[in-house]
Formats: sequence, structure tokens, C-alpha cells
Amino acid sequence: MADSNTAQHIHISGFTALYEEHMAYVFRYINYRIGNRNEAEDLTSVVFEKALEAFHRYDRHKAAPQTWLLAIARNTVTDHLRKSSKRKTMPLDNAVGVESLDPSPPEETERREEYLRLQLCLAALPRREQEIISLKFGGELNNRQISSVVGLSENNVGTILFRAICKLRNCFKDWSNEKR
Amino acid sequence: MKKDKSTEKQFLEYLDRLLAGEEISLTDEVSPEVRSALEHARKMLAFREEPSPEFRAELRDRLLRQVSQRRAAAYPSAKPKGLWERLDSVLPPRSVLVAVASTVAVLLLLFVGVVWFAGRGGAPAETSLQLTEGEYSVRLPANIVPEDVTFTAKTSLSASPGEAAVYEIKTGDVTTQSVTELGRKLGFSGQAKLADNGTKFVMSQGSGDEEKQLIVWTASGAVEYGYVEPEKLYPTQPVQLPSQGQAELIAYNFLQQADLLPPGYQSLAKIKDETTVIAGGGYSVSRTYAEEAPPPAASAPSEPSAPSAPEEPVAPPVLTTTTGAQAPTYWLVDFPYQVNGASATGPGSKIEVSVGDRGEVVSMLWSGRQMSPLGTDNIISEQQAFLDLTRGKGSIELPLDCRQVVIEDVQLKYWLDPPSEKQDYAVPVYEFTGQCLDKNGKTLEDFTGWTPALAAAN
Repeated sequence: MADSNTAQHIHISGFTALYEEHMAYVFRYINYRIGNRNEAEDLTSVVFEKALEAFHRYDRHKAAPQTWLLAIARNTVTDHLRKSSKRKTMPLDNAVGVESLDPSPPEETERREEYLRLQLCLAALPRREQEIISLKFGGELNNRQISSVVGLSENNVGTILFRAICKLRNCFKDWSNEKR
Repeated sequence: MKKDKSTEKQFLEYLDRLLAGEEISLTDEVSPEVRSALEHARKMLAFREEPSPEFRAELRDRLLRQVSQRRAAAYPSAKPKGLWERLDSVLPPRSVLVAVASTVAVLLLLFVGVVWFAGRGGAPAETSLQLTEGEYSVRLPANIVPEDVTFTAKTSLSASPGEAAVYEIKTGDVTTQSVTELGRKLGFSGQAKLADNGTKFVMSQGSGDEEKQLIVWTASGAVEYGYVEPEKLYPTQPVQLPSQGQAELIAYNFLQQADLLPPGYQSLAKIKDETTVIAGGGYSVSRTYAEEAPPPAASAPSEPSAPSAPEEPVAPPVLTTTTGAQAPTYWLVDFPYQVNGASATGPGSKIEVSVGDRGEVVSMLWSGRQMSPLGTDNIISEQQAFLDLTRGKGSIELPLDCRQVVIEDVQLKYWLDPPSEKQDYAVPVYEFTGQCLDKNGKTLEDFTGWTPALAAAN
């Protein structure tokens, strides 16, 4: 007869597999939302600690593992943003100058600038659009899965996604034009 | 508007292919709008950051350490050492404390002995229990709740505390022989083997997509049966499902042949699901429960007595071909789990059979536990339990956008842990059900939450 510890062992084996398979999605989603690698790592840790706590009642019939984890990640990010009041509102014009101090080669500097600009454009989107973009590009969920996480219809998700990408493109294009 | 929709659709199709790692070449019919949006999508993907291997390993180690700590906490004998070490500097000399602790321990042992004698020595079921809180405290999952959520009760809540029965769970011996015998009834040959450090017995049959597995958990005696690969539950090809009524009969007969029938049963929900191949070729499934379908006239069973219909041979299934992303691919026949007439709840309260293509049983979960009454104990009122729920004392999980929880019903049920967990007692919990509403009062999803019911646990 197994005691509760060996029972826990198998329970944890499943969790470890879950971690190995889905950790990258969770991290990428959070990184898109937060735009800060260190904070993204901290929050990814929080997500998996919460998931470990709740794992024994996770019901595979109700949600795919990735959807379940990203729903926890979404709650975690939102709580984090609420608590720290850290919604990124840095004016776009302030961003590039910081990076220009970097002694890296010009190509690398330009890439960093572009990266930063992408982050800033993303941060300027409404929260809902940020979430959907992050779930799509970071979490790699399909539109139906996203709809179950954010509580919108699949059609709405598709529409918001397209519009958000167009906004990002325009934001990025404006900056490129100004730079020239 | 129509043009917008087709542009959007075109973009989304290409985007999914892009995210799946496909090298896409855009045809002439792709509009400049879509082209430029896809170019930007490419750029976003190019800038996507991956977690570093160091962080990945560090977090993994940290999680494993937490697991170890939990394991250590599960051994009561391990606790005093850590406590002594922590308190060593602030408490009186150890010899004094040891003497005091020994006296307390002897008194506790005497107390527990008396309770044990009263509980097991032929005491009637209505005997009030005097067990300590820790002995049957319920292990509810943690809360996952956004901030700023208000709770409203749309049903009357009793202000009167009361009493409820507590049950002792007796897990029968799970042996190689008993599992092998069960396996035979389900079509497995060979002998069951102990796996994963003795936590479960496993039998396998077939190979590849056709491989079936039977698992019996030694901690609980719970049984899992089904195909190893998800293809049978979530096929990519159209399936031919039997009618709902026939699925119920198939499920009933399946449990009957394995001697796993619960005392009463009824069929419940039809499952709709979606099968999607996502980036990297991974398999992902997201499903939503459809509205509960009315039970079929011919075979709708009613508890507690078993229906007569299942005793008749199952007629050749009436098969209907279903296609498309939203078509159901199996029927989930859910049997109620009762503890002496009261409903059970929690992850260990499932007895369900999934019937798939051409009426084949593709999976089964059976987590029955044998229980016997131990006595009664005081429980808190529904009002108190509701208050506990609002104060985060129970277990709930809410979607992020949930701003208001409207409680529509509250019931006393018995909490059952997952099959992998050993559970000694079944104790009552209050189960709250209702709706989650967003800030505009729109229903987001059904709500279920639990709080401990025993007064001793509060």
C-alpha cells in the first residue's frame, strides 16, 4: 500500500512533465505582457508555484494544460500590474535615447532599439489587445483557446488580433519614419 | 465590412501557419494590408525571447525543493525537529521542554485512545465525534481569485449550525491478483505490474495508437482505463457516435462487466470539443461542456435503483457521422457519486465513461472509495460558510474578469481527494454554485466553490 508521500510522488511527476512542456509558453506570454525579462522570470516562478498548489485539482477534462497554465499566468500578471501600478506608460519618445548609450555595434544597437520599440508599441495597446497578442505569440494558443481564457467569442478574438497587429505595425512604422 | 472579414480571415490563416513554424509564401491574391500585417507578425516572432536554460533549471530545482518540503511536512515525525531548531534560541532549556512535551504527548495519546475506542468500539453512527481537527481536516485546493470581487447570495442561507456524519474511508488491498483479475474483465491479458514506486498497478494491451492501459492507484483503489494516445478521444477524422441513450447503455454494461457499477447512476452531459494542431505539431484540446441534454426516454435511469434497460442486450448503435471542428467526438457518461445518499464532490468523486467512435469505450475513470460511518460532528451554518467563502477561507478559482459572484445554491457534500492521494476520512464541505459576472453584469461562466463545513475545522 502506498502512503501519501509516494502518492504525492506520482502527482509531482505529472507536474514536472507539465513544467518541462509548458514553461516556455508561460514565460514568453508573461514577457510579452511585462516587457521585462527579470520580472517575467519572477512571475513565471509565481505561476508555477500557484500551479503546483492547485495541481491536484486540475481537471484535464475542463482545460488543456497550456490553457490552464496561461489562465493562471494571466491572473498573475494582472494582479502584478494592479499591485505595482506598473502599466507601462513610458512616453514613446523617451525610449530610444536610453539605448543609444550602449557601446554595442550599430546593428546590435538598432536591433535593440527595434525590440524596445516593439515593446513600447505593445505596451501602448489597450490591455485586452495586449493580452490577446501575448496569448497568441507568447502562449501560442489558437483563437478558440484564447477565447476560453479571455471570455470572448472566437470571432471577436480574431478581429481584435488583426486590429492589434495593424496598430502595432502602424506604431512601429511611425517610429521608423520619424527616425529617418 | 465583408471585405474586412475576408482580409481578417486571410490574415489569421497565414498567421497560424507562421506560428506553426511554416515557411509561408504569399500568393498574389494576398492583399497589401495582410502582407504588411504578416511582415510585422514575423518581426514580432523574431524578437520573441525564450527563457534561459539557467532560469529553467533554477525554477525546476526550486519547485522540486517545494515538493520535498511538502513531503517532509507529510511526515509528522519530521516536524518537531525543525520546530525545535527554530525555537531553540528563544525557549527555556530543552530538558524542561522535553518533559512538558512528553506529558502533553501522553495526555494526547490517552485522549486519542479514548476517542479511538469510542469511534471503533461499536459506537453507533450518531455518536458525536471528539476527533481533533487535524485528523479529518479537509484538504481543499488553494484560492485563485482576482482582487475586487464581490459575493452575493441569491438563495436563502440557513443561519443554524447543525450536525453531519463523518465517514471513515477503507481502502481495500490493491494487489497484483486483484488488478490482474480486473484487467481480465476489461480484456487485458498478462499480469498487473507495480509501477512508479508502488503508487499504482499498470496493465497494458496493444501497441501504438491502439495501446490501452489500465491503472489502479494503490492509495485509493481508483481505476483509470483507456487509450494511451489521445487520438481516440480527440480524433482528427469524422466519427460515428452512437445515440446518447445507447452510449449510456454501453457505459453501464462496461462498468457492470468490471463489477464497478455505482449504487445509482444517471447520464449527464454531452461534450463538445475542438481538436487543433498547434505550433510545433503539439496536440492541444480545448473543450466546453454543452447544455445538459435531456435523458433519453428509453434508458434514462433514476437513482437509487439500477435501471432495467441496461440488463437487455445493447442494440446495434444508431450511428451518426459528425464532422467539423465543433462536432462532439465522444459521449461522457457521468455517474453520480454518493456517500450514503449525500453527494460527493472534489477531484476524487468521478465515475465516468467516455464512449467514442462506433460506440467504443475509449476511457473510464472510477474513483469509488469504501466508506463506513464514524459518527457525527458539529457543522457551521450556511451563512457562516458563505462568510468564510467571501473571506477567502474556502477554495475557489475565478476568471480574471470576474467582478461579481452570485451564489445560487449551496449544498452539503463530501469532499474526496484525487485518486493518487490516500484519504482516511470523508468529511462534509459546503459547495457553493452560481455564476461569475463581469463588470457589466454579463455572465462569464458557472461558479463552484467550497468551504470546510465542520466546526472543528473553522
